[in-house]
Amino acid sequence: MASQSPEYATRLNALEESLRTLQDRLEELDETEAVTFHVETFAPEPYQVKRPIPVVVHGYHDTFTASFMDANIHSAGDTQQEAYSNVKELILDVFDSLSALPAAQLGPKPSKQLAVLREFLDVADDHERARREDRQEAAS
Amino acid sequence: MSRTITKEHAEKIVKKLRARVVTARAAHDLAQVFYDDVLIVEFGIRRGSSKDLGHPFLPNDLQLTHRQTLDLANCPLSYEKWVELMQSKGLIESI
Repeated sequence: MASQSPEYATRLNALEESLRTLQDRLEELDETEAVTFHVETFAPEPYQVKRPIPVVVHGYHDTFTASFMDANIHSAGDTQQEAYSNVKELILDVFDSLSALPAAQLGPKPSKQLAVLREFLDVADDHERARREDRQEAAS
Repeated sequence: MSRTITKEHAEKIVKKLRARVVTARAAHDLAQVFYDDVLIVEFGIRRGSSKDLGHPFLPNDLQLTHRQTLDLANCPLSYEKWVELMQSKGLIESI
């Protein structure tokens, strides 16, 4: 029967591939227009913003995604505000986690992320002083 | 089959890539993927009880296409293949 021939299977696979590509394209088109916000403060968290951090927020199906593209940090939320707040938190989480690791343990992507993050934010001086004192206390 | 990337996919990827999950601030956990004790990628996992919680940002975090991300979660893309992909992108050092 023709439906069992290898040629038919090949054509079916090609058709399936085309359909997937179309689905991918449709998903891209489903996104809403992006809006850029700038993080000016992390208060009450003890971090200082060296320069405003651009965060791009856009709708994607039922979700909003928020991205700090330069550092490749992304999050999502049910609303625009939630997505924005979530990525702000994640920026600090990634900054803390990468700062805590020795440089030798950072691969190329995390190293670049940390370098970018350090261009945009820093731990507040009094907080850094307290952390240093804690470390000295723990060591003695 | 749904092509949306969800929390369930994120959790499957955590297991497959043997990621370490660290508890972070309120909205996320942070999954860190190491290879030879070097951090290769990390991604946030949204907290919430629903397995359907959207994680459309995962492909960017993982440096994969949308399809590769789903394949990684749903099995066709193996751990070894993922390592090869990361090596081809220069994110894991080739031996």
